[in-house]
Amino acid sequence: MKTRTIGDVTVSAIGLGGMPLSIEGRPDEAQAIATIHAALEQGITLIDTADAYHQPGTHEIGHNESLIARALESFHGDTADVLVATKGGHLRPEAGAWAQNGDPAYLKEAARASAQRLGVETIGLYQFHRPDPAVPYADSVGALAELLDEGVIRMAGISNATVDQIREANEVLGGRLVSVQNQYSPAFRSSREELVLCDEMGIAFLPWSPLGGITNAADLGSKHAVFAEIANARRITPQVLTLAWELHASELVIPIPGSTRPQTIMNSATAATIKLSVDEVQRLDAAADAA
Amino acid sequence: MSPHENPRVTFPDGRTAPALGLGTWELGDDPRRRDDELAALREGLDLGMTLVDTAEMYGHGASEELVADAVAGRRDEVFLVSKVLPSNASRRGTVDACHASLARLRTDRLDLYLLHWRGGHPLEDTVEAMEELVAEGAIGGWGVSNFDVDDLEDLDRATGASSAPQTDQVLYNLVRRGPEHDLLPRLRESRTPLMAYSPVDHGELLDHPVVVSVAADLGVTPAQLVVAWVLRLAPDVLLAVKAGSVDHVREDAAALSVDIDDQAFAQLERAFPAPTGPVPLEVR
Repeated sequence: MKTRTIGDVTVSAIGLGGMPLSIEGRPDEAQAIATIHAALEQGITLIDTADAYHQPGTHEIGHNESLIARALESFHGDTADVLVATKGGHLRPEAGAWAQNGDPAYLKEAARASAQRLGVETIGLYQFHRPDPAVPYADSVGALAELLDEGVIRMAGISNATVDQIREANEVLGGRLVSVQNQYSPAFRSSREELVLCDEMGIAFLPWSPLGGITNAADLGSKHAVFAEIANARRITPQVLTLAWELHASELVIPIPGSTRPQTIMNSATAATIKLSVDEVQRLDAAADAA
Repeated sequence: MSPHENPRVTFPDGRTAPALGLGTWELGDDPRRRDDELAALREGLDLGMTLVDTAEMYGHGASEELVADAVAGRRDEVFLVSKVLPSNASRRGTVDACHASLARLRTDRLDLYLLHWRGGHPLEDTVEAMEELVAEGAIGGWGVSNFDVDDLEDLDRATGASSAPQTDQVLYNLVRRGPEHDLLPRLRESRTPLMAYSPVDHGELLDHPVVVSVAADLGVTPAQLVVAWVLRLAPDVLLAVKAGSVDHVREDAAALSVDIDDQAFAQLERAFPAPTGPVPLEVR
């Protein structure tokens, strides 16, 4: 498995996104564990989660973190190199609603609860999930700085952040910001600016929902038809091609596609070994820009 | 179009299968592609590519259901291979998974059943389950996939002399020649054919300048060249090619008639040298 770097930690170039294993429509526990195990067997060493990945309500906060902890515990191989990246600051009190809480005291408490669910003393990577308009951004990120200093978390990241917020967070963290996780896909290119900034700053960029817009790429008249064309010529799927295209955007990009079954993550993992030509990347960029 | 001659490969137990068969990785997943994929599989069968390789993992069962439609009414022409997920490969789980695969495939037997890759269940348990499936007639034989030389040694220790795999299905192509160094010689010793997958790798081989130029010299397509290159080792290898479309299947079937001359082999050898030492097995 090809690797990339988050902070000072080497991780697989493709990570596993944990969300679909715990929200509405999730598979049963056996299938969820099998999916995580298949990812680990394939050499994936980055798993992204959040305390808010659970079914709506307050009865099972941290479902995904606990699930991942169980999967790692029951895995037959070595998991010492696996980086579990979790997040705090988002809440799912009811169906259809994602609320924010960026209160520093809350975040510090949430991080400790996450560590407990993950069964670790120190969280490998903790990300502030989404800016809370009710709390100054610097205050929320300041909680992560304190968590770093207190040894509750080893690395700090942010998610759903703008260019200005990335700069601000890195300042608040005293240059210790290691990752930014934003939505990024052929259909969602507006965070291209943040990707470019992360590349300049040497900060890992984790695209979430990296396959947006690709399901229908093969449809007649699709804006993303070029993805289907090139994929067909290479005899790979548009999904795998899309992840490879994202990996070509910068050495700091690490897509984290979600998966609810072994095959999907195994397919996704193959993207790490694909080399695209300059011409292919240009055609894909143009198609994504035009869409 | 008359079928190209497809050499027969013999397994240790004496049964045979055609060297070039059909793969179903990623097939059955997208309902909108189903008709095309079904047509591709049927075209492959008509062209004599009657080894069909599937797995419970592919499309989470959807690939096996697609294969069921493709082989309906002609099951006896087909050498059918499926695989158990490592997470299911316990003593009991292997047997259950096989029966679930048979139900999806709408058949009463598999010709070969493989452990998809090495997981956490003890190999002894998986092999015991495989032997039970052979005894009850649910499978004609068993094998493994993605096993490197050291895994095969562990397997030998686990099974003793009484039972041995019929094949090892691995990633092998022009740019992944690692198996030639140690795995292939080891399999040859026990007259066990290697089953290769992904002859075009991730498509990079299809526009590799040397592949393109050698293929042009021979008057064939790059895909035909890389498929024929793997098949040069038949009957020590079998090869399953992805049956993604009728065009791809026709193109690949014609590779059976491709004659790679000495000069072309030499050019490929220079561009893609054989390994000079051990290379860990890669998995796609």
